[in-house]
Amino acid sequence: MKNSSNLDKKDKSLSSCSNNSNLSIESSNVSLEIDVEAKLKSFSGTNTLEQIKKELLKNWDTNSVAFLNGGDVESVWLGKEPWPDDVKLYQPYETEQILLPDMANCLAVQAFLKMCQLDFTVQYKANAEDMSPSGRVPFIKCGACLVSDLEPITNFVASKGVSLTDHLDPAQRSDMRTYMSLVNTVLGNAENYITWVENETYSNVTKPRYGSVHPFPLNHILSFLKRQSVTKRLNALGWYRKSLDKVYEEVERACNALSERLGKERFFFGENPTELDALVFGNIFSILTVPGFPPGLKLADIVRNNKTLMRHCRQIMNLVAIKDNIENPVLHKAFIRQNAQKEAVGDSDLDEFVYEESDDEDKLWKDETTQQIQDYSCLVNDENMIYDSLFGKTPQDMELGAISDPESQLY
Amino acid sequence: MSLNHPMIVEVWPGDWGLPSVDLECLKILALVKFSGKEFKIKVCKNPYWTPKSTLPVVSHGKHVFHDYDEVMSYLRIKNVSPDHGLSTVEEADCLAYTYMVKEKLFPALQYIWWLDEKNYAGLTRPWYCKVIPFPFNFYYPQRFVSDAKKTVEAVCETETISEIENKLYSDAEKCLTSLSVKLGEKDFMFGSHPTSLDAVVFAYLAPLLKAPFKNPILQNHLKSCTNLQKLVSRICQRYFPLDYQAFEHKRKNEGIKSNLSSDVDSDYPHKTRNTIVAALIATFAMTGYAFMVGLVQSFPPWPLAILGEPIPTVHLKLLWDWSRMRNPHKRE
Repeated sequence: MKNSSNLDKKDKSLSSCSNNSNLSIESSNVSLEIDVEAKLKSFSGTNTLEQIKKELLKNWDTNSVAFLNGGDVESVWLGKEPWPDDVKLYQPYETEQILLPDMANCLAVQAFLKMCQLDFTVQYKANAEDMSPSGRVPFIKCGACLVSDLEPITNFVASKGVSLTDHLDPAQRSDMRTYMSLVNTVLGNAENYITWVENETYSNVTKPRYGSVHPFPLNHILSFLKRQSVTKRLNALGWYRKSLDKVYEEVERACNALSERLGKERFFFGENPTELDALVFGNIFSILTVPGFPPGLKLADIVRNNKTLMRHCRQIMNLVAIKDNIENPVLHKAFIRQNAQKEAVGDSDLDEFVYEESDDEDKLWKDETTQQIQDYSCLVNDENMIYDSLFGKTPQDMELGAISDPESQLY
Repeated sequence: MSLNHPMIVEVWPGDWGLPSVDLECLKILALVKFSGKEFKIKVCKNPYWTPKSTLPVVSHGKHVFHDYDEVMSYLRIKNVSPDHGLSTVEEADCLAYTYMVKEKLFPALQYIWWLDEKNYAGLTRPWYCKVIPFPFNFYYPQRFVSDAKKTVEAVCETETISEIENKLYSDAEKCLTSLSVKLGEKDFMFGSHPTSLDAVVFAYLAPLLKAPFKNPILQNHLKSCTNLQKLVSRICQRYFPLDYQAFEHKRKNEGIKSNLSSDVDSDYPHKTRNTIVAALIATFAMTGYAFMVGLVQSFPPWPLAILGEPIPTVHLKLLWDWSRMRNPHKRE
């Protein structure tokens, strides 16, 4: 019976992948047999169906499990490739463009894929948001499939036979889903609130960064429209009317709940990381490292005071090979500039690269060319405008085009 | 304010064996009930006169609360919170599950109550229109519908109704399954005593279970999770026995009545009257229209009639008199 249950699971995951809705199909033994027959027909033309079936039934007990889990056979049988080499993860530019909530999601997906030990390359696109099927970043391109958001990606990866949650029992799995929705609801909404609703952060950080990739009238219009839509969403979820203090309070409660659940363990569920660990890491790490104004810094302080979560975050940083300074608060350059203007006029040391200091400790990047593009786009730009470097015909731009491969320049 | 002074909870009226049909009201009622504090229920049929134009309203002396979180923190301050005996990990679980239920189940419930055509026309709108007094019953259902629309739009960006339904129902079903797994064979979520999580779960599931929906997809899924169903009826019987018994009694009576008169069409005596009234109204409207357009004119005007000329009183214009049809008021 173990075999059939295994097959059942495969079929379920396959069907959930193919139509991308999560309706599980209860495949009974009868339908399973028909399925196998159909596959066998396409598989071998020479032998008759009965012969193969007999052979299959003879060896059923011993090697059917390996048979179904083996990569090559699976790809022929189920018409699925195991995990192609050229999987790409699309996200906005990290140094110039990306915002706190998107950063959290991108990091979570990256951490999850690294935990699964799947290969992927990160592609930085200014319009990643518009390319995504769901309108949210990040998304991965795997063969002909475009999948966005963490949960669909975990389902998709599970359909390829890789899962981090196989060792969990149903109760733990439902707990995991619950805590994931806690993180998404509280931390995700709080990040959105700080980024889009809070006025100071919006005008000094969010608007310049979000508009940095668009030419003049568009940068104002698009960020205004985006703000409208986020505000509408937060309003419907009941977060828009909350005061800043109330938001901090909820974040603190959620962090405490997470650290209580984590306790003294290494990861949330046993010795191996799960997607919950990836999600928590993505949110915590980006709250700590994305430079911000006092409201964002207060958020980071709340997290920083939580020793358990900090330990967890450092552990995952080791695991996914990201190095950064998460101990000290990172101020946004605009805030530093404001303060500098107040304190001493003409202090020439404070230029716009101050906040980059935290990045100076060499981050480990998987792809060197993409890093170069980011560096160059950063260098040729004044005042966060990477639009010119991408679309304008400047000498630097020609140079940039020569260095990076032409494909990544396409939109 | 002393603890002995009872709290006053203003809620929407109840039905189907529940103390209130509204989700938020049920949440607070169950929470206060589990905390063991004395309280009085005050049924309110019109939220217009309450401080924030919303129900529920909880007042205890000078303090007035409008939502669940406020009441919860107040009870915690007063040291009568139902979560008192929980360990820290259990408290964390409680918080996480509360958020999950809100995220996954709430949009689906809003959809079922207010946006599903069959339920809205067959159950929700008639119920609220009957309960809310006259001028307000045109306003509030509309407002609730637009609120529900906003909530659902915030959750899913997809366009078609079937996609939205699919997403909401699959999320909600996953959530119900998680809750069912969490509950297991226990009496309540964390052992033998009810906690705030039980209050929340009860508030979300009880209306879904008890209301006679016309479109019962999610209801059927809930009924297949027997332990959740048992949890709801357990809370109903133990903590709100009066409403439960009253409803059972009423249903029994209705059952007898409907057995007696099940063959007779209840619409029967009004059928002829309705037909006659409709026919009269139609005739009246058509005649009025004919006079207005000038198809039929009372002819001649009064002064001639006074002169005593032998003229027919009603003159049917011929249908091919097109010029007259176009300019009915032109006199020759």
